[in-house]
Amino acid sequence: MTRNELLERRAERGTPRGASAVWRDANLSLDNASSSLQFNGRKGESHTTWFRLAIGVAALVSAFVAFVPVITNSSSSTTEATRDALPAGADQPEVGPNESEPTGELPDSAGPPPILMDRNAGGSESFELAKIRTRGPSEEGFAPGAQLATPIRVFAHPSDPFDHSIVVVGLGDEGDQRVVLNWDEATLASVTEGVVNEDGQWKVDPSLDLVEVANFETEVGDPAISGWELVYEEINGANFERLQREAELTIVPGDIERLWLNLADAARNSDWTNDADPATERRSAQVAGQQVIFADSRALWLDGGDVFELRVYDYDTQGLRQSVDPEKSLAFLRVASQSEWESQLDESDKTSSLFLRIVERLPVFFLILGIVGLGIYGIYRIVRSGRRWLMLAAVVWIVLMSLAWGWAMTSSPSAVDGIHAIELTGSNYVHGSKLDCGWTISEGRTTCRLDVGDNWLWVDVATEPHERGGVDRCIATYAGEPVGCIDHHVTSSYWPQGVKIEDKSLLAAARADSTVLGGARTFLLGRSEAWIAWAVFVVATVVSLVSVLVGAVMRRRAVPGWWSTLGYSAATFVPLWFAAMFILFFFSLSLGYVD
Amino acid sequence: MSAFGVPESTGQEPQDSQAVFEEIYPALRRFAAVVADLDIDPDDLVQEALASTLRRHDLSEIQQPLAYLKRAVVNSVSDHRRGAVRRKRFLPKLGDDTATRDSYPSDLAILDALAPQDRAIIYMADVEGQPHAVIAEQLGLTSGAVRKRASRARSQLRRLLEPSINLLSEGQ
Repeated sequence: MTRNELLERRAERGTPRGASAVWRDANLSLDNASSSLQFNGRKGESHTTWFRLAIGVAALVSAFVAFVPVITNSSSSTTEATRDALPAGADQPEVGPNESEPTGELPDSAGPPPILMDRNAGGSESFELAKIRTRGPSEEGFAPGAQLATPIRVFAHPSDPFDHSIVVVGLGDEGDQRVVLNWDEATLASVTEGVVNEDGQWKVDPSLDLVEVANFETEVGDPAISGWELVYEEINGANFERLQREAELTIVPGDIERLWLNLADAARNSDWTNDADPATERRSAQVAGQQVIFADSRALWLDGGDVFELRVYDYDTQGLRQSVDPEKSLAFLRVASQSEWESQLDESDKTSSLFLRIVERLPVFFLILGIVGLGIYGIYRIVRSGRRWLMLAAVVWIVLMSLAWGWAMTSSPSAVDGIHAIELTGSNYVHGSKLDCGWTISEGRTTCRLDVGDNWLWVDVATEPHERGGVDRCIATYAGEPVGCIDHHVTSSYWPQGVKIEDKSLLAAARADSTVLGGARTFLLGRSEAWIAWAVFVVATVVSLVSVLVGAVMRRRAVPGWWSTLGYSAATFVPLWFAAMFILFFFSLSLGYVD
Repeated sequence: MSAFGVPESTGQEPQDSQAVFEEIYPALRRFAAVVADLDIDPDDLVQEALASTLRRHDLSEIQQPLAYLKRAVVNSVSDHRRGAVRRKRFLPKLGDDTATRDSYPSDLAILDALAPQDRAIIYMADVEGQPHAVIAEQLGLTSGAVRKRASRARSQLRRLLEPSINLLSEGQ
């Protein structure tokens, strides 16, 4: 067989379908060609350059968003960042706890880490270390019926205590211990095993990355010492002038950006002398070289040019109440040296390598890439189809979605009183259908997380810092009846607030509700915010469905077969719909709607 | 205007595209049958090339529709080949693919040893009798490249055909 014979035979292979059939099929496949799979199941033309370019750009953007913060944080040391945050010319105290020279004596706290607290001048911050709900004497680890003076030790993560669980461990008098407060089940289990008594000394497994931040004694079941909150608030204006007169101060408040605080031992055995009437005789103490003055039953902390009022709140069954003892605030306060703060951060950084942190961010990368990729793919299909009606439908879709988003963004409530619940499955939190929890907020947003257990209603709160419009007042009702309220400021972290349900019948009903809805995840939104979220969802869904149907009807003229046309239109708009839903989800996250 | 005479815009009355296609179909189908691998139906390939062409142009607007479609066919086959290579790379991991292999391969499969573009070159040169310059223009190559590839393809084909020729002569 010669070469030409071979070529001729090859050219004649198969049975030709005929020009008319091929023409008809080509035109049919032309209509279907905008789908990546043609009608014969063969892959259509490869992706165009701009699509690949767009995906490449999306990958780069996703990588930038996901990884750059991690890499930047690791390359520029945290200590430098911390140092940069210091005000120019501000001398940071280079003294440790032992240099405190109060009139009485500050408790020594060897080793506790400094805690960085951000604040804006003129604002206020609050910090709750823990709310301890001491268990009754029948609890495991404590002798039945005993009213023991129980040493309580509080542990926190050194890098950022606000973002991690605080662990409170109660120590029995015979070397036993149990974790009495922690809201992270995994941590609870590990800490229970990791806190051990060795030769009479309580030690924490270093792998837990926990350091002790406080210890004190409490009676089992004694609610009065079950928690505290330390508030420092800059004193300004007429209030300052009044206090200045009373305290005979000569300093003027200034601005600082960051304040290094450290929680020292919360010992209550201070032997400072109380010289009776504080209005006539000023008592003072030195904390890390800074003066604290008690005036008019208030504690003023003089930090350089700034004056802060320190308040301590006790937490008990009646809620959070300001301590009547201003000196108590001093026991919570220690200004830590910057070098101490830096060394703690360096130490905590060693526990996490750059590689691990990058690996941790991989899901974020793929999530962002997936969302952006879905959107690009939807647009790609529309453009590649070259169909004017489809482009028109897409433009209408995008315009309507943009209007919905714009409305959602601009209509964010400036004031929300009351809440609305959206329940989704997938968590351990429970929600009573008649249980209503909310916070009056000025500008910020907040989420509440409810858990009914024992005789407490635990409410987790996350909100914007107060100076950005955080929580002012809580509202918790069941079946319209108030079940408790905590009137205080809340930080941006999650801290459970206990609200006692006094009415036993209400409690029983709440439990019943929680049983019914057990395992539901509760998203509590402001009513108008919930409506906005649902409205965007409904608009996106309806517009997408209409687009699919209109597309199918219009295609029906050119291509027979409802199912293929419906599938084609759906394949075009469903990716866009999913992209919109992802954006809605993250939109909700960014506003703090979703816990 | 492109190498195949696709105008920027046409002020003329367009001809019947289907008629144009029916006129060039036989030659195009033969060309596709040679250029396509044996597992690809030539009509499928023609249809794919036609659809991708119609997506951009009206066939009657193209001055040399046969040449345009031939190049589209070659590009399409090259795409298929790239996809097949990728699939082959992963198929062994999924399992044996002997079930899909032809137990009695046709002698027509000898041509599959050549690259699609090489098959196109020797078909256009040896069967259609087109000069190298025309082939080069239609396939987007230089004349020198066409000459070299044609020579190399012929040598390769000769080596591949030798065993069957020897077998025939021994039988006689």
